Amino acid sequence: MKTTTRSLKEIIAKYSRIIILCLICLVLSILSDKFFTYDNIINVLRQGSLLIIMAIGMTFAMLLGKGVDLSIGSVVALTSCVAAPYLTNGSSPQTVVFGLMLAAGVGVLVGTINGMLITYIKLPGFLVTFGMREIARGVVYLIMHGRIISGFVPGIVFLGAGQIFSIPVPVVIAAFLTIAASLVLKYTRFGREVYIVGANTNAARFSGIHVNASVMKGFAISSLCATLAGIVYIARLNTAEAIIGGQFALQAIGAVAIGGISFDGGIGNPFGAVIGALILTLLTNGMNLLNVASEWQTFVNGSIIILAVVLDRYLIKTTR
Amino acid sequence: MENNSQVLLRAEAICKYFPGVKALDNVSFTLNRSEVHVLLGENGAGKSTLMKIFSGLYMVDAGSIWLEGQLVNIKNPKHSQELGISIIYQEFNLIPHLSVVQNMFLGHEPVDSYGFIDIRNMREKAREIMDFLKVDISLDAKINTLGIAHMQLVEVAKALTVNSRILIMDEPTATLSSKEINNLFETILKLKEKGVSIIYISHRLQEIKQIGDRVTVLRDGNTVGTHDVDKIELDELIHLMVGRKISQHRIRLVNTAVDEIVFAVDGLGQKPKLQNVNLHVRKGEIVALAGLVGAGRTELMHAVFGIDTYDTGKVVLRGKDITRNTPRKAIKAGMGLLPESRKENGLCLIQPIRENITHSGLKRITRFGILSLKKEREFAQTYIKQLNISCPGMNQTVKYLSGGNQQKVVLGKWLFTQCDFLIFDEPTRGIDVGARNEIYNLMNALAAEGVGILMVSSDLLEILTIADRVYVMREGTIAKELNGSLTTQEEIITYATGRKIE
Ligand SMILES: Nc1ncnc2c1ncn2[C@@H]1O[C@H](COP(=O)(O)OP(=O)(O)OP(=O)(O)O)[C@@H](O)[C@H]1O
Ligand SMILES: [Mg+2]
Repeated sequence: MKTTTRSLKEIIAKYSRIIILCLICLVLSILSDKFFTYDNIINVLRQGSLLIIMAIGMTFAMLLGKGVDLSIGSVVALTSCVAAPYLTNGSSPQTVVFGLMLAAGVGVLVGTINGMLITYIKLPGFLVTFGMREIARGVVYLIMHGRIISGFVPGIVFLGAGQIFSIPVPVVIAAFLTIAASLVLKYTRFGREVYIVGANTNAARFSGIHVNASVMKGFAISSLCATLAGIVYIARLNTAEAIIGGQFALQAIGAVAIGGISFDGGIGNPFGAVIGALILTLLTNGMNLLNVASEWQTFVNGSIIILAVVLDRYLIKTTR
Repeated sequence: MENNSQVLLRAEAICKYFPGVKALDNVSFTLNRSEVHVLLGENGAGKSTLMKIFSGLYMVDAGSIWLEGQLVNIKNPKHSQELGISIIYQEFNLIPHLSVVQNMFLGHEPVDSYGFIDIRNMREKAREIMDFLKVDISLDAKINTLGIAHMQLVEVAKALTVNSRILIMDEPTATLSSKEINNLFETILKLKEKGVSIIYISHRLQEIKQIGDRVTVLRDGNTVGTHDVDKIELDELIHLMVGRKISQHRIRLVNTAVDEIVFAVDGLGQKPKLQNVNLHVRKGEIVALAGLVGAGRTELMHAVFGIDTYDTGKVVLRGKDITRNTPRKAIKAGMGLLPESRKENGLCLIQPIRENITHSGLKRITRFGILSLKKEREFAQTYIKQLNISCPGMNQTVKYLSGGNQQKVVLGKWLFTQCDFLIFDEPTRGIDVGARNEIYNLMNALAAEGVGILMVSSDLLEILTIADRVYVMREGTIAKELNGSLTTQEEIITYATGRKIE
């Protein structure tokens, strides 16, 4: 067989998201001289870090091809409110660790239940996680009774507001998580199995892969990432209450959609999710700098998500 | 030169490039009125690509097409249909959760005067076509409940719902057994009488002489030549196609089976499909499972591998009871199943060749949960070479391989798994003659190493080429056991159908 060289179009298709990210930066720095300052960039990263953490969790759920995880916003509220009483000023280190473990346990439990309902009962992921979103929200309202818990131990406050080498801690956490998730997905057997299940569940079964276990683990990771985001979030606000996180799931879905993670499963990676999250955050930041009315901001965000998916389709199609 | 008014379709100097691949490089092809024109070529020669150009799925990069002397620019599949071209693709395009009749008329349902779908009319037409094809499938069966042979027949039926003057059939017989093939050939002859021209692709070479009028050979994206079928010998065609001589004789010369039984099924039953199935395979033995479509062979294989459950019976692998297992445990115990349907069960089409090869043997490249991508690359390279998979590289997405090369990837995947006992369900489906012999040699080598092989095959020649023993399955049970080196096609058919055939 004779070969020809890879086309320019393919290269553009491969890096389209990074190109778009750079274009947005370029346009914003032309439109506003406040944009390309150190403070603002750090600000964008800090604002984006929560979304990045959740979008990475969402990446695991989506790669499995069993649907989006709509429950993460409620998981953010539930786990952080479960932990909050143990994190308040004056708690002993043991108590704080216990609180964090408890939150992680609740997070994993919720995700595993999602996964079990999806695999063993064969319900659509969309439905299961939608139900779980309502259940978890209900539970957190019951627990909190309208209470607001605030004033956390310095260690926790550091997670939200501290800096390491003048980089905000949430950004450091998001960066570590990105790298860890990429390594897991690329270099571990579990990661590979996630892709196989997402690409073709039947073939995964015929290949001897424990499909149900992979799905449960994937949704548990999604939930666990939401838990981490929840702790970082209340740490930054220094306050926990039951109403937080209502929009988080949809924002994370927007980020992974822009980031090129397929809704059918099997395609995408954490870097895509990070870029998607950054694009959304940048847009918000830029429009704030330019004093765009909030109605128009949501309008633009929505359009960008659809545009990104359309662009994807187009680029795939033109290579025929 | 041929008489011009006789020519229906003419393609001149067609070129088609894909990223990294020159699929067609200056191909010319003419199709006459009411002829069966066979298109021959190795896996990856460009046959399907040329057909997809005629069907409007691909645009040419260079070259021109004339239909009845008129220059045409086939813009899309709909346009191609309007020009009177219909196609049965090599890979099925059926909607799994829709019924047979819904699939047959998808996109061109007959409507009544109010604009509603005329269900009665639709069913009547569907029934007619099915009778014409002598196919016995319920019109209301959902596609995902059908076996692969029946899906193939639905594809044929679907192509017949539109009246076309050119019918393209890309490997329609790859999954069919002799009975369905004979019916299909009758249909083809009837269509030909009606004035339809047929382009026919197959790797079962004996079929060329049975129904072909002319034959065109493609090689590496070039036309090698067009011949009248009755003026050329099969050997010569093979030589044109693969560039060397290929033996068409029995390849399994010594039986390497030892006494030790590696795999045994005892009294397996699964209502309503399977009753009291007993069979065994020895170490180093190649056993074939013959039978007609619908005899329950694939169902049996899925049951013993743990894909489907069953009611009664015992399955033993290397002395270990693996009754009612999961595939995962079956593989752990040393068993593998190469599934019949590569697209649904065998491959992840969106993944590269490299990753597909290691799917079921991840254990071999994993240490402490970490994959060695270096080892994976080495193994992928080994199997690409050993099976002669034609591709621009190991990172090519499997979706973009030709059908036969996809099948080779599935084979590579199960060879990589290193099982003691392998079930091959139609292993050479869509694979060309040359590569087929390579695969038989590989099976020989595996058996010599002590691997037991159970091969489900609808290709009787293949069974006679390689099997030590043959089980013939009929109506969900083993009807007869035969000696592979002594039996004949006729004998197998007799037991498969349960009556004498003249
Ligand atoms: N969409 C595609 N993208 C990239 N390469 C392709 C695509 N379709 C086909 N090819 C390549 O073009 C070549 C010709 O493929 P084609 O499917 O026409 O072969 P074929 O003759 O039908 O083979 P087979 O007998 O295996 O079906 C192959 O090397 C294949 O890998
Ligand atoms: Mg083909």
